[in-house]
Amino acid sequence: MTTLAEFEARLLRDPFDNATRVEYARALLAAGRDSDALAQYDLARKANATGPLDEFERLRAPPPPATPREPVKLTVVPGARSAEVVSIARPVAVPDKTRFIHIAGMDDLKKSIRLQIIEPFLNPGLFAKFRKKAGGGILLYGPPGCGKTMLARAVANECNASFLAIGISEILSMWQGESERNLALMFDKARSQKPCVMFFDELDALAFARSKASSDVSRKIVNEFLSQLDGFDSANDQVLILAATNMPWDVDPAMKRPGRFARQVFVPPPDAVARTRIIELALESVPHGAVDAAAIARITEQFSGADVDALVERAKEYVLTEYLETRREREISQEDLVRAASELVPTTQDWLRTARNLVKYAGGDDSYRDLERYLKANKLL
Amino acid sequence: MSNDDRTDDRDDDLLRPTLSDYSRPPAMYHTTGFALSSFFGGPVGAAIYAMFNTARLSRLKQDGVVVLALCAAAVLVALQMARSGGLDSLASIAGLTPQSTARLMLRALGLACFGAIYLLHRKFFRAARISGVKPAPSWPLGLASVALGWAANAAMMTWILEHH
Amino acid sequence: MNDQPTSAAAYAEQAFWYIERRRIAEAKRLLAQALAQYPQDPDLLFHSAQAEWFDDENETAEKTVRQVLVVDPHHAPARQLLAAMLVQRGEYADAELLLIGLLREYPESAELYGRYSQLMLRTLHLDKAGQLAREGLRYDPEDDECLLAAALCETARSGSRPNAGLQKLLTAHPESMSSVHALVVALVESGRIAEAHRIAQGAMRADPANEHLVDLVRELRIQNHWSMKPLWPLQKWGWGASVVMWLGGIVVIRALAKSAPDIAGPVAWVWLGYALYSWVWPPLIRRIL
Repeated sequence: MTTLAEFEARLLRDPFDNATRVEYARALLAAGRDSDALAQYDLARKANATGPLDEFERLRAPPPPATPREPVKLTVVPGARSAEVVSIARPVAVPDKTRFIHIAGMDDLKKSIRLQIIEPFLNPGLFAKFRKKAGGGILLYGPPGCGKTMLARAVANECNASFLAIGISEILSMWQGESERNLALMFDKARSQKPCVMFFDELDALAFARSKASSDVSRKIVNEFLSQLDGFDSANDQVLILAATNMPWDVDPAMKRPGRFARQVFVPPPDAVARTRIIELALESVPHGAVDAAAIARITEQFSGADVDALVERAKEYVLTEYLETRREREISQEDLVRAASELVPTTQDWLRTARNLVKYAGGDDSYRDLERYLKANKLL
Repeated sequence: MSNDDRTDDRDDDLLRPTLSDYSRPPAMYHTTGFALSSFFGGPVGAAIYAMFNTARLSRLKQDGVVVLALCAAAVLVALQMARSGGLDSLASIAGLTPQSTARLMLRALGLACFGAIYLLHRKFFRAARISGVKPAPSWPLGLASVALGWAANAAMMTWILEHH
Repeated sequence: MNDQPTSAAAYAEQAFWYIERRRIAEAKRLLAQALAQYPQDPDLLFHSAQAEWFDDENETAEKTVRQVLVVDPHHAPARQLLAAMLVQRGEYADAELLLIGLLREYPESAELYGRYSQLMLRTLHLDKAGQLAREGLRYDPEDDECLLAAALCETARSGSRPNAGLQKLLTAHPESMSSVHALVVALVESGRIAEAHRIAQGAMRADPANEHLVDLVRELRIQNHWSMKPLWPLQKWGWGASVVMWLGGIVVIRALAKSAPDIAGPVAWVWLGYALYSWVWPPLIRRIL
């Protein structure tokens, strides 16, 4: 019987031997390494080496429904163990066709992004006439879970451009020199897909400040990134470079110089309108009583989108726990949501505390002006 | 002896443990406590506080005698001033009573002791600040130094006022 | 990453990459996955200890690092990490023994000399700290740990006088946090608060989550506040200035009492007011700002 190590050695010799890859995926499955098995199977599927195989397909989470379906009845099979209790359909996190119209609230931010990003991209002539500088990348920053990726995707759709999302996993490789090559390939790919929006998620990880990095790999990636951005000038028409980060202070300072990511846009936690809509969406397919989403939004200041989702999840848990104890089925109520809101601490708080320190004590950096405005408006400064 | 031998010797010396007999963190007492003890406790208060700080630095052998000598010199200056009539001259220049002048003189001499000893240990005070080492709790030592120094000052005042 | 790690070493490298970026949650997830496959791998255990340490889970971190030393008693990074943990706990003597053991095994490691020198500085053994830093710099004249230790030793000795050690550090590593730290310390010691504040602010922009840095900048901001400007002699010369002010005040007031009794009273009040201000205002402004 072939061992995992032997499969790995064979694939190292010939990475395109997809038959071996499928066998390797099966071996991984037998070894109980489900996620690794699924990853290998996906690679083989991408190369069209095999059709869908049930043994792997069942490892996937059930796909999201294509169209909004009827609210799922919160039904519990009598006598079922808690682990078998219903699954509740969740809305798709970021639909591919997201446009600004789909993003509730955040009007100021959308207006600012339209002026700073979308219009210069769509009407370069107009901006040139007014000698308004366009071009260069834009860095979206803010606390985690507040929709930076969704905004970037919406920008791409507003620009009628293809969207090339690049995360850490697309670039970083354990092999020497491979990460830089992957990065260059991504830029080549964007150039060949004009008009295109390139979106680098977690830029702080890809372009980690060289003064803080101790490994050569990190420095080399940043150098490659800089040369790609600089070399991009001649071919940058119809390619928009966006990036997102939770930690803008960890991004190499050279990345923020003119022509690179000189413009920084703060993406704050969702405002009350946005939170109301998130609550409504999260409750859409779940049995619930009369819920005043706006009232819940008012008591969830500084909650990120992910926090609001977590709040609704917590409310569901209360209902389910109660059912298991009393065997009486009921809908999610306003009280459940209020209770969940009082028990949850927004995950943005640590980030906002750090941001406050930055604005209050580090002083004098224009790139954080909109963050300062937000902190002042919310009496956090 | 070759160069290499000398290097080995130096390495061995450098790699000999220094802290093994340490039973407490090497924090010094607070500078503010030292200044206040010297101000209110005079040379004797300064000496008590400084000796404890010197012990904390494990430098009693090197610096203990210097600290005691400085404070003893200050006490002798005070007594000599009284015997030689200097105190009366000072009192008439300042327009103060001999008692007030003696009190001020003891305070000034206490602060002089503080200044001299601070200069002696300045690099250690700085190193403690630089390393972020928190000062050892200084209240008990400070209060004891002030109390003992105050008693010594009272005794000296009595002697000075009798002999001026 | 693009490639799923296929060996303990690959996992360790990836974990290090996450830890370097302080992505501790990701590092922990990866390490849990890796340790399920290679439970006895010392490098993976070491990175796991490192991740716990950065996550302020000190007890777990120490337990894990001791586990590394059971598997591989000679694991140098684990011993160094344990030494750092002991220093943080104030167990300096044990930390020293660990560092000496490491130095005997790696006698040409400038970094180890630098760390030992910093421990000596922390325990106020200035002569030995200076000797250790010099010894380390013989092996690597640009090692930042040794240069930092040397610069700090020199600042402790020389105060505001020119500091060659600091100059060397700033030349060799102009952008490193060690340089900034040493420079700020030297400026504070020379009473150049405004410059120290500006430089510390710059450092904070790069590392706003660093609590020590936040405290330092907050303190320098207070010291640099306009309402503290009248106290600059006390800030610059410390207790020396206080003593001179006390003694000078008495002499001046007594002299005025004799020569110009009309202004002696107001001057005495100003003098007392200033003394009172210097005592009351600094703690008050700390609460306000």
